[in-house]
Amino acid sequence: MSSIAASDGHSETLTVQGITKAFGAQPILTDIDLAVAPGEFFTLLGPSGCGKTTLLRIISGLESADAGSILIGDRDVTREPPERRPFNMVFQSYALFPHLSVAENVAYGLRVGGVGRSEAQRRVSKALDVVDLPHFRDRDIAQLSGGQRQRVALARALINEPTVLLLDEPLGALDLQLRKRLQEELRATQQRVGTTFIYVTHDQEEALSMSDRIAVMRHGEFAQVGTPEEVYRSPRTPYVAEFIGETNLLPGELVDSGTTLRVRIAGGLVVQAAAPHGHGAVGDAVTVAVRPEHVRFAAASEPGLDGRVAQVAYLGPVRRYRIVIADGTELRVTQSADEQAQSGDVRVSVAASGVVALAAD
Amino acid sequence: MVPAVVLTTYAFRETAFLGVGPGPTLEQFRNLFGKPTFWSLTRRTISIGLVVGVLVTVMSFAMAYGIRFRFSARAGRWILAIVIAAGVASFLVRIFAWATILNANGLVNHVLQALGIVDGPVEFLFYSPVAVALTMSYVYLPIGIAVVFGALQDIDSHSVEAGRDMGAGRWRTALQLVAPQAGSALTTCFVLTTVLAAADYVTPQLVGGTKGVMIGVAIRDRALSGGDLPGAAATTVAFLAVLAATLACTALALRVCRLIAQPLSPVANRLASRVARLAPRRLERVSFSRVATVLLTCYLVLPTVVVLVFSFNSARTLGLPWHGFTTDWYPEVVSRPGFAAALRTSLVVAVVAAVAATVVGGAMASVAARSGVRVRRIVQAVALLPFVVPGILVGLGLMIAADASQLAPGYAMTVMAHIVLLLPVIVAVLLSRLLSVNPELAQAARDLGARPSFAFRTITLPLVLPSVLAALVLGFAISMDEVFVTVFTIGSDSTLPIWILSQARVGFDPGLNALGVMLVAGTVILPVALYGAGRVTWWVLHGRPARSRGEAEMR
Repeated sequence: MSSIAASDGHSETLTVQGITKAFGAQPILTDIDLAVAPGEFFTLLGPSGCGKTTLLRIISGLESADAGSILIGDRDVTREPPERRPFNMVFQSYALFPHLSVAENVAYGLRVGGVGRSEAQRRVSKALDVVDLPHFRDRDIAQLSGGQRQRVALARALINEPTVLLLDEPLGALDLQLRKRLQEELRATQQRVGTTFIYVTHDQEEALSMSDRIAVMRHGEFAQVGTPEEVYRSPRTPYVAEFIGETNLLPGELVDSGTTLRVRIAGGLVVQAAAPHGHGAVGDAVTVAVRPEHVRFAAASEPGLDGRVAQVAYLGPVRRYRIVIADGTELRVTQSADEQAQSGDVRVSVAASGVVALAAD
Repeated sequence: MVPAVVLTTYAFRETAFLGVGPGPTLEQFRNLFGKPTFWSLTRRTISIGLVVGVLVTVMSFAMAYGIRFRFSARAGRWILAIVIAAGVASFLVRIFAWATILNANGLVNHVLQALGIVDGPVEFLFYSPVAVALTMSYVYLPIGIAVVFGALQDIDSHSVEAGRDMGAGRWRTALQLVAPQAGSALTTCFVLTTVLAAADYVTPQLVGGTKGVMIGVAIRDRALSGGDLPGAAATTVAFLAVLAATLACTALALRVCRLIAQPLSPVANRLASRVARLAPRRLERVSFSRVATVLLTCYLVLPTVVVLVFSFNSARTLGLPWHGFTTDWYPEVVSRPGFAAALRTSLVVAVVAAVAATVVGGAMASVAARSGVRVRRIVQAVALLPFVVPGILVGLGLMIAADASQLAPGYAMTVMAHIVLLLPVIVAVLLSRLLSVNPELAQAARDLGARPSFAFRTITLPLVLPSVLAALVLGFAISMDEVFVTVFTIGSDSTLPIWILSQARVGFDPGLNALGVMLVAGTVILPVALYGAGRVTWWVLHGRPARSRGEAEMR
């Protein structure tokens, strides 16, 4: 069985076609299509209950789909049990075998495949080197810290050289500091071994910092698939804009759809907007998204919106303001903390490059 | 369930010489209800049952409350371990302990006479309903504590702290905040211990004398000595009906009381707080439940110590005076006729029953672990049945079932009965273990390429193995100690407890205490030693200690 991973090599595309799943009357996944390129770090991002873990488990074979298929290269693995698929999984609980030592855990996949003792020893050592735990071979699982367990789980899943590694919120149980460090480590490991990673998380920062591409999920569907920069700078819908980073969603009206798109927003201000996902006709209602860092304080003579500072929070590198403009709309603004702090009545304007006209959810 | 149904059908048959007459008929019941002895026995039995129920419930609440809220988690675990040990330690030994304490030469009488409170031995202490009630309260206390503690465990200790924070005193917290939350457990405890006590026929035989005879004794004699199965069945059914009616009336009366008391509760509250204010501050600082827990722990432990100590007394009678230290009783009882045969029977029955029940129970548990929540609930509820259903019901029912199907009582039937008794407990033990193993472990094994059978062999089985051993040990211990059902199924043979019971019928002497000590050693210490040996063997084979439960349970 160990030959499966070896013969398939590392250069095959994972294709997910029309995967649909429901628990009773409750739809979990609806017609999911996806192609993940070899060596890609692909993230499924969404809140709990959006179906991301279910999709991962369907790919692994631990759960079955109601409809659709899973292909690796040209090979259809939809009907194959988990033990015959060239994918391995890092579980959220790590699922390390508590009665086996670190080395025995890592070697489990080799033991199943009947790999010889000396060969297994060599590969376990190599795998533990990869995750930077060379001296932990004979430790008990109970003696390991959370971060160490995570790395053992990673080594165990990589030992069979899977075509695709599936990771289900592997850093979810760790504290913030450790999580940040392991994010970098995980990304570095992935680039070193060149394995395709499919990574499930609800943490948008984690998704942005690690991924080649992100699929933002909602109610069992993909709301948007793109590079971190695409989903951050050009969110397709209000849901995506709000889920990734902070944002101001402002209702407006399309006033010009010529060479530049122009939208009239609150306070009658007309701003230029990008519409990477298409737009409606002049006169249509439209929602625009403006990141807080794209709103800036303006001089009284410049065009802009008058408002009042309702709240300021000092976050170290930046200050975050909550500003209530004349018609009652709230705007969030971040500004470098090196700038002069603002208070009382202020005037804000919006950077032309930062406004995105959104499609409806 | 089946024994109960069979039993009920026999209750409507006529008695014939050495057999069962035609039916259906109400003849049996007509006979019974006409007899004054039935009613006097029933009245005494139910009175004793209710007294035991109340005593055990009050003690259980005080002690469970103390363990849960007044001691550190660590101390609580130790006390709980003592409670469980006291509950598992041989049933007969616990009764012998009270025989030692209460009889005419017993400890209590000696102390009373030494203090000059009474002149001669106080007769009512032994061979009396008082002795029966006292002994039963002791015997059934561990079960009561287990039931109540289970419920208190679910109560958030923050809610108790919040109560204290808002000014409720200790008593008020316990009685107004905690007791209502544990209401159904207290009811369960009361009903359970009342029923168990009322159906107990061994305790009254040993410490009740003629004044303390209860209906269970009469039923057993009728079935075993008289061979009158329909009569015994009818008596059981009639008695249980009266008992159920009494309990229902009690429940109704309580509800009426509560309805009447409700409008009065503000008045009562005001009164209570005034009284509370009157109580000296010092009293408020003494934790009653803490004191009660310590005292009751001693109460649970000391009688067993008494048994041990008095098994070394060279006097011919059970109790004081102390004639001198001797170990002679041990070889003496072992050489008594019948001992060796009874021991052999017990060992065979216990080993076969425990192994069979563990194999079958393991299969049932692994099926249940994979099914839905509803199946698991049913399994967990059924697991309580052997503790809840009085043994006399199961035993008599099995005897009647055997009679109806022309099976002779003896070895085989006893083994079958014990398997039936052990199965629910063993399934519950194994199921809770299987459920505590993270299901992702087996999934991870599959994901790493293991076929289901390989994953089970290398991952699931090693993780549940300690519990399989524990189930074997538990099954062995329960079977070794079983009396209530075995009396009916064993026929002319004897298991060790049955043989000891027959010895006790002849008379009490320190030899009985020696037997009791050996029985405890056999049921508790031997299996624990085996279990320990198993772990050491594992260590030797695997080069490191077997993982303890806690570590394996991480999810």
